[in-house]
Amino acid sequence: MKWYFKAIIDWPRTTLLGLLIATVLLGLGLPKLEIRNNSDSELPESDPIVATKERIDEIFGDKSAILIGIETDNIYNTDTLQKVADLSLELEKVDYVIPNEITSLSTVNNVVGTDEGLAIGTLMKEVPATPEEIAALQRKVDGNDMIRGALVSDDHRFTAIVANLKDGADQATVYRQVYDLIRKYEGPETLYASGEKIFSEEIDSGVQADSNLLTPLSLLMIMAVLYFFLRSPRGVALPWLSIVISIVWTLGFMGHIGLKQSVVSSMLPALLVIIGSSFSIHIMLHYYAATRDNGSLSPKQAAFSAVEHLGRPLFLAGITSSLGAMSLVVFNVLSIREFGIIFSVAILFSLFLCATVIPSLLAMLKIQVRDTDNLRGTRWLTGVLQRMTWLSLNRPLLVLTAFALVATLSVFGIQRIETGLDVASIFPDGHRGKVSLDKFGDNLGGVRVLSVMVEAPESGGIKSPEYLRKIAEFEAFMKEQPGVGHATSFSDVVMQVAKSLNPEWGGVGRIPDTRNEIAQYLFLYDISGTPGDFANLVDYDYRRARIQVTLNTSDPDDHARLYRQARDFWSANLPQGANVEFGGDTLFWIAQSEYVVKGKVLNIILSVCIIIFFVSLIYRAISAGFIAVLPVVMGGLVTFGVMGFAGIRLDIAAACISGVMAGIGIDFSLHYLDRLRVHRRENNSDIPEACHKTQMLVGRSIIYDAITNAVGFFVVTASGFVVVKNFGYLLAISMMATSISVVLLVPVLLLLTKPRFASRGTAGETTEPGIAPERTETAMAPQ
Amino acid sequence: MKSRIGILSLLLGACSQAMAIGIELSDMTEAEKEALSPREVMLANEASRKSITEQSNMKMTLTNARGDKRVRDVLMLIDDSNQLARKTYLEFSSPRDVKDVRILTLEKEEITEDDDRWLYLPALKRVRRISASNKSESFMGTDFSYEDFEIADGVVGSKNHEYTLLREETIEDALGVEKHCWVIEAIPVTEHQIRESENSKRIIWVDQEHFAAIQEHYFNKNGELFKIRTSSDVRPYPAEGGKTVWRPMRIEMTTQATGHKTTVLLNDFKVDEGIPENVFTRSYVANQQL
Repeated sequence: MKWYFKAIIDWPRTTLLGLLIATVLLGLGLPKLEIRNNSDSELPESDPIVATKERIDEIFGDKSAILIGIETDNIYNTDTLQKVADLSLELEKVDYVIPNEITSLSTVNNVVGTDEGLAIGTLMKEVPATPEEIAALQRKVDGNDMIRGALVSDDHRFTAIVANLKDGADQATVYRQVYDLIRKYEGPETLYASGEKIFSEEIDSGVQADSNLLTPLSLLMIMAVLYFFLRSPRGVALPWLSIVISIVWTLGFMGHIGLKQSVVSSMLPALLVIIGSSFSIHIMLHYYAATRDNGSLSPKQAAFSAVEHLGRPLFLAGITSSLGAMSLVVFNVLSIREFGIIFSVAILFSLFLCATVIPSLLAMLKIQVRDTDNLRGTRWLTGVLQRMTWLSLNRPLLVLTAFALVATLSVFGIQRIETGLDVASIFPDGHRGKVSLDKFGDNLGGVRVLSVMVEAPESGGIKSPEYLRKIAEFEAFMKEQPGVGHATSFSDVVMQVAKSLNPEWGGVGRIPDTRNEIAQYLFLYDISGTPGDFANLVDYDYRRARIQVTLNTSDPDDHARLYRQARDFWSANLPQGANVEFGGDTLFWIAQSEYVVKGKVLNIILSVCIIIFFVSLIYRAISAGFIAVLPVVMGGLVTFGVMGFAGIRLDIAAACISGVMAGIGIDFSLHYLDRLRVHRRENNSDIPEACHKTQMLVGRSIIYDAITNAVGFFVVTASGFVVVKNFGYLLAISMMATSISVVLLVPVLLLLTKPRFASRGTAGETTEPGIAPERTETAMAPQ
Repeated sequence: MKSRIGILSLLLGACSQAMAIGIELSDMTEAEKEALSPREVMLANEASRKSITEQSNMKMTLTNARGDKRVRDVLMLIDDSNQLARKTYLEFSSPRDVKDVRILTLEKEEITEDDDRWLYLPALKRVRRISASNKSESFMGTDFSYEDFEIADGVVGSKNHEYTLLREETIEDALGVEKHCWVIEAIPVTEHQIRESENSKRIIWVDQEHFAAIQEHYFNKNGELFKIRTSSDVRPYPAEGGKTVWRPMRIEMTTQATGHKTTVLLNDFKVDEGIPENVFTRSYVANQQL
C-alpha cells in the first residue's frame, strides 16, 4: 500500500486530474439512473407465493387500479351523481387507464328486481334529475349487495370510482393527471385518490421531498460537528469532497450498468456519508497526530505520515465492510440483494477516494497543526476517552457485566420486534395519503386485498351449488373477522341475480339448488353486462373463482392472522378434488416480511462468519476474529433491542441498515486492533498503555465519527415519514452503540484474553520477543 | 327513457329501400359507381342488405385476451315489417345449461317509450319482464353494442351523420379476399346522435362490388380507436320482390383496450321466408306454442 500512497503524494496534480476524468466519466451515468417501483418484482419468481400470485393475476387479469372517492353529506343528489358520471368519462382520458374498465355508479352492471320487473344493465344509465328518480337509484343500490358497501358507503356519504390501469403504468403521470381531475371536480364534495400507484407516488414523492430537505441538512450538521472537533476548514472540506465524489461515482456507476434505484438504494448517499466520514476522520486525525508530533515535516511527508500506518487497517476495513454488504445477497428480496451488491462497490469507491483525494490534497496544502487532544471545547472529550479506557482496563469485570446486562435487555427487546410494513404508519398524521387510506377503509372496507382462488377439477365446476355455497360460507366467515372490511365473490353475483328473479325470497339472496338454475342466472348477468364484467371473480371457463377480501387494517400481524384463518377454513372445507390458492397484495407483503426476517437472520450469521473468518485469516488467530466481532455483535444487539422497545418495525430499510452497520462496526474494531499492535510494536508498550494510546487516536476517530453521524442523522428524525424517521434513529443508535462497544469492550477482551496476535507486529510476522503481555495497574487513571 | 334497439339490423337486408336513392345496385356501371357521393354509398350499403324478415342459427364466440373462449348458439328471428318497431326473438341452444333461454324484444314506434323485453329462464319456468338497454350498452355481453347492430347509415342514419370520402383502396377482408373499397368517415352531427352514440367517429370500408361494409373502425368520445369490426364471407340471398341482398356470414368485433373479441358466424341464413307473427309474443316466449 505504501508505494501507492507515495505515488499519489508525489504526483498529486496528476492524481487529481485522473480522478476528475474518472468522475466525469462515471458522472455521465447519472442521467441514465432510473427508479424502479414495481413491488411485484421484489420477490424471486420461483417463490411459491409469487408463483401463485402471478398465476392468479394471470387468470383473473389482475391490474393495478386507481380509486377516486367522493364524499359529501349525501351522494344521492343530481350534482354529485353528475360528477360521478363526468369523472367516470373523463378518467378514460387519463394515461394508462383502460377505458372499458372503469367501475362507478354510472358504469357498473346491475341486476335487480324492481316493481316493473327485472332491471339489468348499467346501474345509472342517466343521471337522475327528479327526487323520484334519485330514490329509484338509491333503491337499486340498496338492493345490490355487490354495490352497496363496495361502491357506495352504507351511510350514503361516500362513493367510489375505480379505474383499472394498463401494465407498466407510470405512477407519476397517473398521479398528476388524477389530481388534476380531482382539483377540477372538487367542491362542495371532497375528493380522495387512492390505489397502489397513487399510494406509491405519495410515498416516493413525500419521502423524496423529506430526504431532499433533510439529507443536505444532516450533511451540513455533520460538517459543523466535524469542524467543532477539528477546528479546521480542510478537516471538513476534504472529507466532504471525497464523500460527494463517492456519491457521484456510485450513482453514476448504477446508471451505467443499468441498476435501477429502489427505495432501499435511495439510502445510498446517506450511507456513503457515514462510510466516507469514517474513513476520512481516521486519515485527518492521523495527519494532525503526525504534524503535532513532528514539527519539521514537509506537506508531502505529513500527508504520507497520515496514511502510512492507515493503509492496512483502511484496506482491511474496506474489504470486510464490502464483504459484509455483499452478505445482503442472502436476502430473497430483489431490492435488498441489489443493494448489497451496489453497496459493496460503493464502499470500495469510498475507500479508494478517501485514501486518494485526501492525501493528494494534503500534499498540496500547507502544513497545519492541531493538537486534537487539547482543542478548546473538546478537552472534556479527551477526558471521557481516557476514562473509558481506564474503566475497561481497571474494572474489566464491571464493564463485562454491564455489557452482559445490556445484551440481556436487548434480547428482550429483540423478541418484541415486529416485522412487516404497516402502511398506515408510513404517512404522517393528516397527510392526504393517510387521510384517503382511512376514508376508503372506513367507508368501503379498505384497499388492501387478500385473494383466494378456488379451483374445480373440471370446466364449469364452479357453477355447482356445492362450490358456490362453500364460497359464500367462506365469505360470511371472513366478514366476521376483525380487520375484514368487505368481501366479494362470484357467489354474490349468483345470489344477487337469484334474489332479483325471486322476489318472494324477500330480498335475501341464496344459492340455488340446481346447477342449471345457477348457470341460467349467471347467463342472465353475463348477457346484461359487458364482456369481462366479472372476469375478476371467475375465469372464462368457470373453473376457478376468486374471492376478494378487502382489509381495513394495515397491521401486518392482522394480515398474517387473516391469511392463516383463510387457509384453515379451506383446509377444513375444500370440496373433493378442488384446489385452493392465495394471492393479493396482502400476501405479497406477508411473504416479503417473512423473507426479510429469514434473510436478516441468515445475513447476520453470514456477516459474523465473514468477519471472524476474514479477521482470523489476517491475524492468523481465531481469537482476533472473535475479539473483532464481539463489539459488532454487541452493537447489533443493542440496535435491534432498541428497535424492539421503540416499536420500529423490521422492514426492508431496517434490514439493510443493520447489515451496513456491521460493516461500519468492523471498521472500528480493525482500526483499533491494528493501531494497538503498531503501538505495541513501535513503543514496546504493554496492553494497557497501548490501549490508552490507541484510544487517544483511533478511539477518538471512532467516537468523533459516531457523534458526527449520530448528530447528523438525528436531524433526519424530524421527517414526518416514519420510514425516514426510523432510518435516522437506527443510524444514530447503531453508530453510538457500535462505537461505544468497540472502545469499551475491545480493551477488556484484550486484557482478559491476552491474545498472541495482539503482541505481534503485522500479520504474518513472528511474535516479537520481550513483549510479554502482562497486566499492570495503569498509572494513567483519568485526572 | 327510450332506447332504440335496432337489433341485428347490420345483418339485415331488403331491397325495399333500394329505389330510395334511385339506382338499381346490381346494374350500376363503374362510371355510375364513381359518381356516387359518400352519402349515396352509405344508402346503397343499406339497400344492399336490407330485408323484411331474417332468420339464422348464430354461433357467437367470445374470446378473451388470453384466448379463452365462450361459445353460444342461438336461433335468431327478426321481423322488420314495421321499420320503426323491430321485433327480435332469440333462443339459445348452447351452452347446454342455458338451453332454451329465450329473449323477446319488441321495439316501440314512439322514440320516447321503452322497448318491451321479455326473458324466459327454463330453470324458473316463467317469463320475466326485463328493462331496456341503452344504445351504447353491450349486446348480450358481447363486444357489440346495441348501436352496432342498428343500420347506422341508412335512410335514417344518413340524416344524423356527415360523410366524407377519405380515399379508395384495396384491402384484404378477414378471410384474405381482396376488396376494392371506398373509405368513408362518418361523424354524428345531430345533437341527439352525438348524445346517444358511443362513437365520436367511424371509418367504414365499403366494398365497391356489393356495397358491403367489410371493415369499420369505431372511435370513442375521447377520439380514440376503441373497436374494430370486420365482416367477410359476403353471400347473396334472394329477397322479397325478386331482389338480392348481400350479407356477411362472418362478423368479428374486437375491443382494442381489452383484446376481447366476439366472432359471429351465421348458419342456415334465410331472408324474407315468412316467420309466424305469433313468434314475437310473450306467450310464445313462455311456452313456444303458436
